[in-house]
Amino acid sequence: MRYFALHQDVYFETGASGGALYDFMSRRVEPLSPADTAILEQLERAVPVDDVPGAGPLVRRLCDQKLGTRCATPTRRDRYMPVLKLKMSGLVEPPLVIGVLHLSLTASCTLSCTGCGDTAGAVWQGCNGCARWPGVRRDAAWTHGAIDQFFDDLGALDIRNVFFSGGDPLAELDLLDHAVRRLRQRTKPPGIIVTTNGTAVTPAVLDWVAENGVKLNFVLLGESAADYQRACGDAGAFEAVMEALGAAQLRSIPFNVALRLDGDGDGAAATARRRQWASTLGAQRVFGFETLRVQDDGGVAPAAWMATTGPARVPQVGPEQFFLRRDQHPCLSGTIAVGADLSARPCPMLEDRDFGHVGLTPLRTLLGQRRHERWWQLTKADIPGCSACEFRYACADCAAVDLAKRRQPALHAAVCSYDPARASWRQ
Amino acid sequence: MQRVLTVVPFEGQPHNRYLYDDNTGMVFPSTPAIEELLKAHRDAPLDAAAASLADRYSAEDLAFAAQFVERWETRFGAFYRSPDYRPQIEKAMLEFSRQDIEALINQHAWVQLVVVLTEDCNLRCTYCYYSEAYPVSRNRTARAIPLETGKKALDYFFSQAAARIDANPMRKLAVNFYGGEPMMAQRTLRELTQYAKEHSPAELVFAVTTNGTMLKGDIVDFLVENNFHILVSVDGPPEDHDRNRVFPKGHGTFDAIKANLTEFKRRFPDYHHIHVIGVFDWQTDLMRVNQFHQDNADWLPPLQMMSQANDRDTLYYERFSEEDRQRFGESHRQLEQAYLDAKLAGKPVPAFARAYFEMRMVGVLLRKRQGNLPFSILPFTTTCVPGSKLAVRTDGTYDICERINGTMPIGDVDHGLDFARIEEIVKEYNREICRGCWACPVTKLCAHCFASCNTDGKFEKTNCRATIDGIRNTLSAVYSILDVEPNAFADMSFFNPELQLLTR
Repeated sequence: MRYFALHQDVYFETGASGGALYDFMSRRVEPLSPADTAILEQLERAVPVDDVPGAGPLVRRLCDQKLGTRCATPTRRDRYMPVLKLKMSGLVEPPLVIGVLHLSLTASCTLSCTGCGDTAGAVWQGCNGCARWPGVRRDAAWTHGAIDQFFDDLGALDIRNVFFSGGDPLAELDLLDHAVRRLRQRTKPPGIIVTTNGTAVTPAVLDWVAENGVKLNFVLLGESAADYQRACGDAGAFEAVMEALGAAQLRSIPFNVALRLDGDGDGAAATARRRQWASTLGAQRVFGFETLRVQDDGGVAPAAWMATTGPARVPQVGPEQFFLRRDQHPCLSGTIAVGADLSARPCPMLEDRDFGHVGLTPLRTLLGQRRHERWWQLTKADIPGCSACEFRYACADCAAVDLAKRRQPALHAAVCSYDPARASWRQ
Repeated sequence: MQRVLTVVPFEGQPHNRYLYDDNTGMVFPSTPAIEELLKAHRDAPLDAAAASLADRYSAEDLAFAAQFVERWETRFGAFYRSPDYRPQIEKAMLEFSRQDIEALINQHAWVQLVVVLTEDCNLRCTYCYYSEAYPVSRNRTARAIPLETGKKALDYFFSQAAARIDANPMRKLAVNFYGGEPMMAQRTLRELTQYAKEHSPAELVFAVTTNGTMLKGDIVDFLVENNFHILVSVDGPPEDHDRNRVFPKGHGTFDAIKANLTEFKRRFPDYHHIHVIGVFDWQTDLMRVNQFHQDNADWLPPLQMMSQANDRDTLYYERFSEEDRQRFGESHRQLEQAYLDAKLAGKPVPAFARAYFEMRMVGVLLRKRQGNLPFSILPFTTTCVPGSKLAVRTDGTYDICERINGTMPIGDVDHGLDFARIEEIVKEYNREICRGCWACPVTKLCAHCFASCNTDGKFEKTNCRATIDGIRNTLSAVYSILDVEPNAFADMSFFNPELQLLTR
């Protein structure tokens, strides 16, 4: 009698219909048809190969691909990282690490983009863009006193990175400077990233950036003056931003670029061209983001990057990402956001998930109330539209879209072309 | 120099071979070809090692074994420790600075303060660690902790723990009252509890370990009002319990404890923070104790822990004959069989058998795996960081925990922790107990600690071979269950990490 066993570093995940094999050695994700998934489910339950109709070809293929092996006896395969649900709280509370603290000190900005702060749609992969903090009034801002109180209250919380965004943080440089000084005084200073549209980046600002070890994240509204005219009505801003980028390069100041991909509906080729252009700007990393708008008929135009579809869209994944995504959401876990109105949320884009007001209740106290925990423990299995998908641990898609806009299911379809119920890709 | 192999082969159900690998913490299905290849590959390239086995195994078996070894060795660092490992790890273990140990303690300690309220006791248990049966440890005395000493200990604990709480406002702190018999110092217990509530920087968890004979009257209301974890010593039915747990005049304590627990249950039927802890020795009939727990659940709180009477530095075990040992071994085998039968049939496992067997299996189930690295200062055994369970004696001296024998103090309430002394103790532990661990295949599963290896002012290495064999047996038991029922341990609700911390 012969049995089949997947290698221990190959994980089998099932979806509503199909399945997928996550091979940690090669980091690839192998899709399985519904029929093969049903066969493999039986083989995984230690049913002999000969007793499963149609198993022979699948077993041969998986052995040839070095995903598993034939064996004489069914054996227990120990999981690389098992899920053991233990109540680790109170005395055995694990260390609290805030991986990313998003801070918006001011909602004001040097530009006036159409749709900025719009709560009707959703920002897709907007973490690195500026079109976030929906629902915050444009005149909201911190004071020096509020900044001092906030940092006094932080105590010894372990904060690894602080992302400043706005509005544009450089629109009120004195507030930003004050906050950065307080951060640098901490026993373990965090990494600091400032997201800016670049129009207020002067030589003096770059001196300040270099002096404080700050990294810049430039948000670009397009690749031309025409794009800027269309996005914010200020064609001249494009030139100012290009100058700022050049000056940062000259001074060897590290920066990222976040490129807005939506706006003119000019198709996949234009999106690819823009990404290519952005990659020539000397940035360490290039991100893309776009705003998805709900149309009058309730539909949402597909995101620009959805031009390609099919299994090729499933990214490679290693064990580190796999277990991170299985056990928690990669961006919501360890993240706290505090807006210009001093309200704390799980992420800058979740405008209606308020934890509390840090001016009234210290952040430490809010954390002690455990209101963030639901978000930190969230996994793809908790997210509608993702929970039944076999690729959920390979996919790094933004959960905020689904979570914040549950009454607009078209948003999910706008960013994902896989249908787990049919195990097929939509065109 | 040859590389060291870090695997323990064992069997689950008959003919199902496995390998536990200590580098990754993984358990792998194995074959004779894999085991032989791993040995041959210690000092020969993989191809040559496989070729040397060609006359014993088929080409297919060897190809699979080579592929498996190559995958896990190169990608995850499994199976071997190189000759460089020993000097590297010994440098980390023996050459750290006082600042290093201070930083480790401040980051990971200050979880629990054990207050020894009194060294007096109203019982004369024959296996008591604080009796003549254990020449190295202190004996029972009439000393009690002065209130001011207790307050100083709490002040120091809270001041040091404040930074830990500051870093994580969700953490709690524990104050655990111990003895002697803490109920003989009820007034101090009440006052220190009140003082702790008024001065703690965090929410508190209180615990008390008692022999149960004085668990009655107002003190019960006080403990329940303050949500104490109450741990009561009950060894089993009268035949087992009264053999050892006796009043000064020699008569057993079972009836008195049963009366108190029955009354407790009547008054507080829904109070869940009360548990039983028990001790066994070579005359314990495990099957009888198991039956006792099944038959008396109406008044007997759930069993949290069964531990063996301490067998180090003691005269206590001189009373047992070889026949006693054999009888005990037989009752152990019977209970194990009953446990396995229930587990494999998917039936409820008796609570006693769970506490007796599964608490040992927890170490295997929750073992550290890839990416879960130990402290570089204390890389081996699962000993705690000194200060995480700080015990204060009646005279204000600090010990690493309440179970250590008192010959290695680490400070006092007037001067705080003596980090220089702690540095010496940790280095001595690493030198004496962990000197051979660089070549050990079960470092992630070894349960030795400061308390278990402490003799008269020094550390003494125990029989590592017996430890490895014991772990191999536990691995076999766990995987023979998992072979039949893969989800047998999916429900870990029987294991309460917080309670475990209070009773360990």
